[in-house]
Amino acid sequence: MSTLTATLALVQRDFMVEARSKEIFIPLGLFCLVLLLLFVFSLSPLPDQSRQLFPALYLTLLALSGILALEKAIERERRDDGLYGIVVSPVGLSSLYLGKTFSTLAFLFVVGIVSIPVFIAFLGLSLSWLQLLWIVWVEMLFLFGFSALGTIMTLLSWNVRARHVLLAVLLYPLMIPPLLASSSLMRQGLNGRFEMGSGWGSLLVGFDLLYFGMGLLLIEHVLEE
Amino acid sequence: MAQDTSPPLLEAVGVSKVLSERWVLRSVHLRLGQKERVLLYGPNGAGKTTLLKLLCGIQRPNSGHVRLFGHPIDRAPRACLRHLGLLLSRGFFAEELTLEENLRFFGKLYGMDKQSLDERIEGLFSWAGLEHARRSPVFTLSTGQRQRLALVRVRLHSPRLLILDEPFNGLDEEALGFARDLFVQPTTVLFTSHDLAFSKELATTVLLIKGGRIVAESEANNPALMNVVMEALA
Repeated sequence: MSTLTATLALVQRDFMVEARSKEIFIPLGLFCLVLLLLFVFSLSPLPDQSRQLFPALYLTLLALSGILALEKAIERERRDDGLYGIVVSPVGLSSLYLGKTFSTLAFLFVVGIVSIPVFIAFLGLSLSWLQLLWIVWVEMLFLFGFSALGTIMTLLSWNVRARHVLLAVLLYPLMIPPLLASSSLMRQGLNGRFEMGSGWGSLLVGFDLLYFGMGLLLIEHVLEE
Repeated sequence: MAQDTSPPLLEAVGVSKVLSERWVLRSVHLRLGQKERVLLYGPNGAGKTTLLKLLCGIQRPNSGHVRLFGHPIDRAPRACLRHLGLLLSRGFFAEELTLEENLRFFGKLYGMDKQSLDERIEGLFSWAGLEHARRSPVFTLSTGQRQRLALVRVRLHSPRLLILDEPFNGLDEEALGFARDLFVQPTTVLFTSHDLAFSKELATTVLLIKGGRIVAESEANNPALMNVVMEALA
């Protein structure tokens, strides 16, 4: 069975499970809404400040909801030892990594997309289509690195009793460079500058590739136990 | 088992395992030849499940080595796992999906084409008496039905080697009847069970495990098997 077919089978299964249970989308949606309300009502930003605050608030929301999504994904696989069923099948472990990374990316991407109009409404932002597309593009790049790193860290902390703590401790420090790069790129976009060739753009893409490559290389070792 | 000269399907040599600073297995040797049916029997905490996890590569031993289909388990080609069927205490299912969706997922992982998967699923649902529940989510099943489904999953890709941890758990009389089929196929089986009276009828060899060591071995049809068990596990 090819890596692509196996990856698609894993992604399809995760989507079917989520479509039935909604155990990622509903808690994440509510979490996003509460967080956004809290931000807006406690900060009460002026229109100019909203534009400055948006990248930080939006990325905070994605990073926090991302870790919740990863934890839910762990719990789901632990519930009936589903991971063992895949590990002892003839499917290559890289397919397992790719499947999990792309499912997480897709779930978080949808949550991110859905929350953009809510942000715009609550913060009173007016954005051009180009700015919107730029934000979505940067969001996707950020989430790709986040999912690639998050998936391997999730599997690394699989057998650890305090895995929820360990996941956050491992993941967040390593996500600081992509967070800074994404925040800067979004701010540039909101000010009308759309340059991926800048230092921040290269940094973000570089970390994405680094984390994705690291995940593919490490997956066999991580799953040894 | 030692008399068999054909290459073993599964072999463990001097396998030891430490979990939470405790020796769970100590220098275990095991050799499983073609079409053998070996019962691993011992008290709770003897190390049976850990041994099964080591033998299929879910865990790695601290010392010793395991060979599966002639390959060292840590370097075995993934394709050879196509011939292995594993049942642990849980079924590996996605609870929200239906029985059929779960089996189709596993069928895809094992590279089965749609037509043979359709036929196989049809036949196995009928074998296990689960036709009526095929479109129900797994979480609606009783313990016994889940175990039936787990047995169906294990047989789905027609493996040559079965590793089964407590395959009869929760099964009623009817299900115990068809569970016997797993043992009459030309398949090699290593299994654990606490029901010695039932299981010895299905096995060719009984290995007795206690405190992480294989303490005795006997032919399953040995008339003095119960004495061997009493002595070894006393």
